[in-house]
Amino acid sequence: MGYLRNRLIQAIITIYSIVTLGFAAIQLMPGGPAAAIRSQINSNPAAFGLPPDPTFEQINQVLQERMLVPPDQPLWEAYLTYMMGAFQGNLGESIIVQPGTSNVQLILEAAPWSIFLSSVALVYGLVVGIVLGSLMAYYEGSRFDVGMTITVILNSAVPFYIAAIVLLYFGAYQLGWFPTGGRFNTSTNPGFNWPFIQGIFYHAALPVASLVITGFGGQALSMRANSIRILGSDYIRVAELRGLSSYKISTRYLARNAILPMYTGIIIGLGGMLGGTVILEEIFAYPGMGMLMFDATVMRDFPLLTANLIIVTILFVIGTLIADFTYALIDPRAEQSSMG
Amino acid sequence: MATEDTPGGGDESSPFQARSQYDATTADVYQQMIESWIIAPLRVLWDDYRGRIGIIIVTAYVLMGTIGTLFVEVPSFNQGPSLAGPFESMAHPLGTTAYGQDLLGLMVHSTPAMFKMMIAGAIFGNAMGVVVGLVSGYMGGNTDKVLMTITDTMMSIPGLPLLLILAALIEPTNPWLIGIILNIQGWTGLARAIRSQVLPLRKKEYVEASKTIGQPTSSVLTKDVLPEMLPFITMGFMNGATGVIHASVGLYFLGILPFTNQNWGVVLNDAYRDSGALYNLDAAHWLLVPIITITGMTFGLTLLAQAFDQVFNPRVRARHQARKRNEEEENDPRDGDDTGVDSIANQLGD
Repeated sequence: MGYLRNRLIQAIITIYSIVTLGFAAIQLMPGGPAAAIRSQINSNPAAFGLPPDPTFEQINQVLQERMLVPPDQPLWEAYLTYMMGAFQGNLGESIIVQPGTSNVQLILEAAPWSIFLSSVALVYGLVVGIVLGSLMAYYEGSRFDVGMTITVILNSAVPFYIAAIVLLYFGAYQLGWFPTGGRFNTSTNPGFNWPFIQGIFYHAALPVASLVITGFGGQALSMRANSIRILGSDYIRVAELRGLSSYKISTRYLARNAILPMYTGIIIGLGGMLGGTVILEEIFAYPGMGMLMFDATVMRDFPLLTANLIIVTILFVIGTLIADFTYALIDPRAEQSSMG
Repeated sequence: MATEDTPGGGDESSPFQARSQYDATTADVYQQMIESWIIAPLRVLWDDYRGRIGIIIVTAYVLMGTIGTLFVEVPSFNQGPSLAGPFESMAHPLGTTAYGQDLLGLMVHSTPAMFKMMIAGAIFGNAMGVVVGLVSGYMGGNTDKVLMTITDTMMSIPGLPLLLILAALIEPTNPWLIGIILNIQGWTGLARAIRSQVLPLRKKEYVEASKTIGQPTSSVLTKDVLPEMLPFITMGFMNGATGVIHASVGLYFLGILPFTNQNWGVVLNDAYRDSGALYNLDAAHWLLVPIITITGMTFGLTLLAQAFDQVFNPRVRARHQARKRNEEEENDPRDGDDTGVDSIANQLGD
């Protein structure tokens, strides 16, 4: 279990570092954290629940709530306060995007939408990639294989946001087949009913499509390479000699082993997609985590931005941990090698 | 043998006392180096169709960024009619934006800054990756542990959110600096790859030999270990450059990097934000021209990276040649019994 223990320690180090980085970013924000918020409060006291002419103490009170850290505290004390707060799941409050709302609450409301987009795109991309990759391996060297390889390379050379803009322009604006933005049909009742769920998928279609179109290439190529390697191995030949049906060989002997090396990449890919939603959600006006991050960056709401970075990183680290821990379950060799 | 006939004599036929027929001049040495390090790989690349297309595309962009800027006017507002279509007039071959800027000029004058970013980012990523990977793999022990912990931590931070924070904090305008920031995580994968390659190399005879005769670590690393890493370094360079293009256009498109540099992403942003452009079919070229420019560049780099596989991996090369040979054989059955290298290549291909 040494390997898994090391992974756990690594995860803790990563999360600790990212929270520290978040603290540093807030401290480094232009003009200093306190000054930035002070000017915000002075320009619009009502947004912070203060009377028109707030006293200095009132401003300081608000500052402490927003920043999680009392103003004018020495740096190390501020660091300790921030770390203690983060450890208890408190990452401060938004200062500009939605003044006074807890960052964690804002992000957790938006996160499911982004996770939904990313995981649907991941599943579709995987299915397309695996099917296409095994077909390419089966017809290795044929016109189909060469043609598809070039297509797949071209596909992965296109950044996903380019595909997104093209799809939005033609699919939504010019042809009007899909909505141009939003995440569900506003005329339906949110809840567990068919029109609402249908609207969700309808609105997710274009964002998901742009991720799938540009993303399946890598999966297909690695599936192709794995399959070709395994097709030449002895146990496939033995299985053929034993007279097993080709269906059994392709599903039991080939597919399982070819998909295995892709497993870790799948979960890591999910993390990458979550980070990439910033551009995607901005293009499709899809209010999820990415949109929140974008707003926070443009309005220079550093506490919200760093809280976003911290939570995305934690999600990513948890995903990697799940991949590491479950890998031993699906591939018993991994556990043996880590124990031995 | 002549050496046995005259033991101890100053005979030139002894292999230990043979002198070269002529002294190699510095020019010869350089010529040799250019031959084996530049000409030969280029020839291999050129033989592969992917490499050929890749070289042509990338060269075209390089020319566009160097010579092209001299011939094409610097774009400015209202230099032409608003939203002129592409391929309609010689003055604006790719058409104009809604603000009357020439799209060709916008594309061409964005290229130099793009190349600066790519070069800065790729060199930074490679240098970091090579140093961390080599030192970590070669030194082992606690150095390795610390460096790899840092690498893994850096690797687990999602890229785009980190870039958002850095861009918001630093607000960089210098293209070299932007390139480095955009590839801030690019070294981690390379460092991991190089480390795992160096680990087994430590035990190789020639490395041991260099250590035994007292070569300093730095010289062992650069002379014995580094050349083996060349495939990874080249791939890292290509990936770094592609990554910088994607990230820079993405961030310029979002409008998060300051708009002081001309960039393909800025054009894309203008077209996307312009209220009419998305509804208006006449504005399609405003979106499509930057899109095709960006895709073309990354496509060229990806093809080149794929073709480099052949330069570094003789087995892949032999396989492709064997396949080519097989196809020729099918066309001309008399040309069937080759011997030598090609038959080996054929065996490898099977």
